[in-house]
Amino acid sequence: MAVVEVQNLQKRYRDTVAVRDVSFTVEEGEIFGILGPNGAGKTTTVECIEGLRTPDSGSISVLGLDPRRDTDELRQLLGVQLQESELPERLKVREALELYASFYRNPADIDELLNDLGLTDKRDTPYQKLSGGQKQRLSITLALIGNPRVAVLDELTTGLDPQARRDTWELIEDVRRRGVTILLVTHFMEEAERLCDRLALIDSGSVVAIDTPAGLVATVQAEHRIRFRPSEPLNDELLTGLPEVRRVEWQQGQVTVTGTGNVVHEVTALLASKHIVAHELRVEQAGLDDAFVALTGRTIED
Amino acid sequence: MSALGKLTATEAKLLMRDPGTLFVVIGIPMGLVLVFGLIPGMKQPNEEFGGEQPLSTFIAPMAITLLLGMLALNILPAYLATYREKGILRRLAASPVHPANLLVSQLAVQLLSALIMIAVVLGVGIGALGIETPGNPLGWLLALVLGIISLFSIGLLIAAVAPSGKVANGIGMMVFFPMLALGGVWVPKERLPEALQQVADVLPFGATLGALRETWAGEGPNVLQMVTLAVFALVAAAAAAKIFRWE
Repeated sequence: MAVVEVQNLQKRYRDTVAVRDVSFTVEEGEIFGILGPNGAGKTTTVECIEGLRTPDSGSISVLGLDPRRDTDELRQLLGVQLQESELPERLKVREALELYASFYRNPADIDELLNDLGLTDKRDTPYQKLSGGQKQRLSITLALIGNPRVAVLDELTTGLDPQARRDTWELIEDVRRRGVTILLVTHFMEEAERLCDRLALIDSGSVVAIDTPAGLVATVQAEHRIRFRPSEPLNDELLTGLPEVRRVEWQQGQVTVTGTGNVVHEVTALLASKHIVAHELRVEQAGLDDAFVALTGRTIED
Repeated sequence: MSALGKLTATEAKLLMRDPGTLFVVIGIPMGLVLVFGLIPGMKQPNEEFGGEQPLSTFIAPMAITLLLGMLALNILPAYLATYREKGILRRLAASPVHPANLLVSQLAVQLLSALIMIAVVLGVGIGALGIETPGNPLGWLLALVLGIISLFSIGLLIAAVAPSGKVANGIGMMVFFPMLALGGVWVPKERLPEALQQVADVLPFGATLGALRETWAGEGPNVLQMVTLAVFALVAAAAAAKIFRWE
C-alpha cells in the first residue's frame, strides 16, 4: 500500500523554482530516500508533504490525507524531524518529551523511548548542554513521540561525527522495525546506500531516477575494475572472450580487468572453473556517486 | 492538562531558570522602591512634585512602568524572536499544536510575572515603606490596563519584525531608552521643557507613567494619555498580527 503519494509537485519562491516536477510513492514499511545536492528541492518537497508549505500545483496524499486540508489529522500520524530546529536552551530532555507527548492522542511511552534512543542518562540535562549527536537523537525522539505511522527525517546526520552517524543509522533501522515508514532526506551517498530500500534522485527540482540503490548503480554503464595476481599463468583471450570485459592490462604480474555489468561475477566464475586463485584481489565497483554523476552530469558536491 | 496549559507551565519554568530575566523583573522595581523608600525625604510632601509625596507619585509609578517596559519591549520580543530564529515555532508548527499557542503562553507568563511584581511592589511599598494607595483607584486601574496592553502590543510588533533574538534586543533598546528620556523617567515630566512635556503624553511609555502618577495623586485620568495608549495598542497589535511570521 502506498503511504505517501506525490504527483507532479511544483513549488516556486518568487523567481526561483524550488521544485519543478517531483512524483514518487512511498510504500508502507520502507525507508525511502530523497537524495540530491543542496538546493535540489529536497527540503521543499518534504515540507509540502508535512503540510508546512502549500504546493503551487500537483497533488500529495499521506495515508490518504491531504496535507493542506486534513492538517490536524496528518499531524497526529506524521512524525517530523526538521533540519536545523532547536529547543529552548534551558528545557530538559524529559520535559521536552513530556511537553510534546501531551500534544498527541496516543503518545509513545517516554521512558521506553528515552531508553531506545540512548538518552536515559540525559533525561535531566538541559538542551544547551547536549552534544550534537544527543541533540540529533532527541529530535528523532520527538519525531517518534506521537507514535507516528510515517516519519520524515531531514538531513538527520549532518554535522555528526562518523561514529555518531553510524549509531544514528542503526537507530533508524530500529525505528523501521517498529513498523514506521520512513522518508529520509539526505545528501550523503553512503547514508542513502546503507539505509534506503528505494531512492528518488533529485536534481534542480526534478526527479532524475527512482530505484533501489543497487538498481540505480546498475543502470549506470560505469566500469568495474578487478585487479589480482593469478596463481597460475592466465591467457588474455580467456578474459577478453567474456562478453562484458572491455580491457585487460598487465603490470608486473598483476592483471587489471575492466568491464561493465556482471563482469565481476564472470571473471570470478572463470577463475573458479580454471582452479586459479586470485591473490591480492581488489574490486572497484561503481557506487551511487557514480550513478549520480552519470544521471545528472555532475557530482553531488557541486 | 491541555496543550496550552502544558506550554504555559513549561514557559513559566523556563522563565524561572533565566537569571538575567529574573534579575530585571524582580531587581529593578524592588530596588527602586526599596532604595528610595529608605530615603526619608521621599515620603514628605514636596513642592517640586506639586505638594505630593515623591515616593508614591513618582518612584512607585516609575518602578511599575519600568517593569512593564522591560518585560514588554525587551524580554518578550527577545524570547519570541529567539523562538522563531531557532526554529522552535517551526518545530511546533509540525506538531498537532499550532505555534500561536506558544505565543499566547509566553505572553501569559510575561503578563503574570508583571502582575505578580506589581502586587509585590504595592504590598511591600504600602505595607512597609509608606507608599500611599492610589488616590483615584479606578483611574489608576484603567491607566495600568491600557498601559499594559499598549506596551505589550508594541513588544509583539518588535517580535514580528525582528529576525533574531539579538535584533529584537537591539530594537527593544532603541525603542526603550528614548522613551525613558522623553517619558519623564530620567527627568520628571514637569521639569522637561514645555514642548517635550507634550511628547511625553503622546508616547506610550510616558503616557503610562504620566497616567499612573496622576491617578496616584488622585487626579482623573488624562484623556490625551488614554487615547495615546489606546491608539498605540490598536495600531501596534494590528501591525504585529499582519507582519508576524512563524518562521
